[in-house]
Amino acid sequence: MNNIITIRQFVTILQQKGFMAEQPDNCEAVVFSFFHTIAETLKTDDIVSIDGLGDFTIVNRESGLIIFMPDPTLADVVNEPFAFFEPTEISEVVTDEMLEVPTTEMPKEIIQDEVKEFKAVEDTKKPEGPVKADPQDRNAYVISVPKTENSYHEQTSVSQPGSFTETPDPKTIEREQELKREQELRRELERELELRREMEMRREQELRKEQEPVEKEEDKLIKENVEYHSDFYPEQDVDEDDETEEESESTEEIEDEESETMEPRESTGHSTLTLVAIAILALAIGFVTGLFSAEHLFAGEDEDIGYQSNVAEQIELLRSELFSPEDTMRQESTDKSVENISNDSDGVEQTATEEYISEAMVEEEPIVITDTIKENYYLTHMSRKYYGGVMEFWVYIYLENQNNLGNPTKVKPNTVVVIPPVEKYGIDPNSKKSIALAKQIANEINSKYK
Amino acid sequence: MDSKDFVNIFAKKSGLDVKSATEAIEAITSTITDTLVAMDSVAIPSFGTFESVKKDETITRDIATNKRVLLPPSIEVKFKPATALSNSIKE
Repeated sequence: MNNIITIRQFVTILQQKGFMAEQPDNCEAVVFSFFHTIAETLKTDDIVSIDGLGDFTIVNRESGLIIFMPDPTLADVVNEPFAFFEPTEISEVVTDEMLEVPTTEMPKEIIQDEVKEFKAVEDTKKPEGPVKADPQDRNAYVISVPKTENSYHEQTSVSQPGSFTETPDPKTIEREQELKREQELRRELERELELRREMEMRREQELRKEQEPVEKEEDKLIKENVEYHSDFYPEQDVDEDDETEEESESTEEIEDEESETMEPRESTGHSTLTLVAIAILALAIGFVTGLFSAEHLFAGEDEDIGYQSNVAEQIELLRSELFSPEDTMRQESTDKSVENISNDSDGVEQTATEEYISEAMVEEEPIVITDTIKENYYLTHMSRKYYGGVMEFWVYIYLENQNNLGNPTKVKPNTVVVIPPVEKYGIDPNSKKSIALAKQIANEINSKYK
Repeated sequence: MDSKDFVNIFAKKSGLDVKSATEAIEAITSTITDTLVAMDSVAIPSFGTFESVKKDETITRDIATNKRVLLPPSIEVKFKPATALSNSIKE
């Protein structure tokens, strides 16, 4: 192909075909003679036609311009590869633009999308900012389904504190709602404080009543002890019967303490039981109020952590006010039996309250995952990252953050979005129905912004 | 000059009889044809070069009907006369 055949090569080809086999030396002379005859003939005639080759026509003898028209047989044989094509008329509907030869280059949008995806994959492999990327998390992104749950929880533990402090609270409505909640919480705390103070006052009054007779009776008790050691049991019993109920309660307690090493006495059991019952009642009320306040306080903290530090401080102050009177009251109580009993039961109950509070904190702690939109890292990439490598579930992230995002095709970088948990929207990357539903929602969302 | 006259002249000049001259012309033309089908060109000194050229499809407008026509691609045979031939025919 595209070779130039010289006259000698041409002659050898002829000889190979058996041309002039009898006189091979004349072969070259005959070929030369053939073309020389044509040239000579053209000097006299304007047209020389040769069957099977074509016509040589002199157009302008002065300029020496010669045109060669190939023989139709020669032209057909040479044009055989394109022989089945025929000239066709083009209708008026077809425009010149439509007939332009399409370029083989891919559309820029497709190339850009591919580049974005490639960069997104590379970005996920790199550690993201100050947050340390777990190796399992990377695996979860690449390998997808089985490890998503692990990565989900790991992500929560890592991203929660930073994400809360980063959220700027763009909507004033949310702020107002939170302020209302705080106000309600304050009112409840104030009510509880009033109740606590009332209770405190009552107890102090009771304790004063109890303390006064105790101080008066101490001298008598010393005498009684002397009598006790000198075996005057009947007289002591008579004295005790004459005493008032309040006096008998306090003295009997002290006697009970002293007689622990000596002998158990049945008559003191009734009065001590009443005191124990009062103490338990007081502690139970304190315990219930403490629980109630703790529930509200921690529920409030979960919602408001990192939102307003001033508010948190105020709440802590209120809490300290709430708990402190109980402690002071306990310190003031001089009755040793009451103190012992209260301390024992208080220790148990305090540990119980602490456990309950810690349990409440663990149970009520909401798992909130947030992520930030970046260039080349959009909702679809988040969907792949958090929902088992399926990009269709971006609609649920969008629905969760609909107020902040607006048009899903024009999201702005550095926008913090909340990743909803899988259970909230029934996201299942293995279910075709779930993916189909997500696509349907995506169509509805897209149709809104067309 | 038609083909028959050319055969006679060629026979006289080459010293062959008409039958042999006709066969010689057929052999030469068939060899040229084979060369051109193979998309090669035949260069004959002081005469010219036969070559085959591929032409892409083109859109032309038919003047008579004023309609556009799509011409399919094709392979055409072209002859480039040598300078010696052009000079020889000049008066």
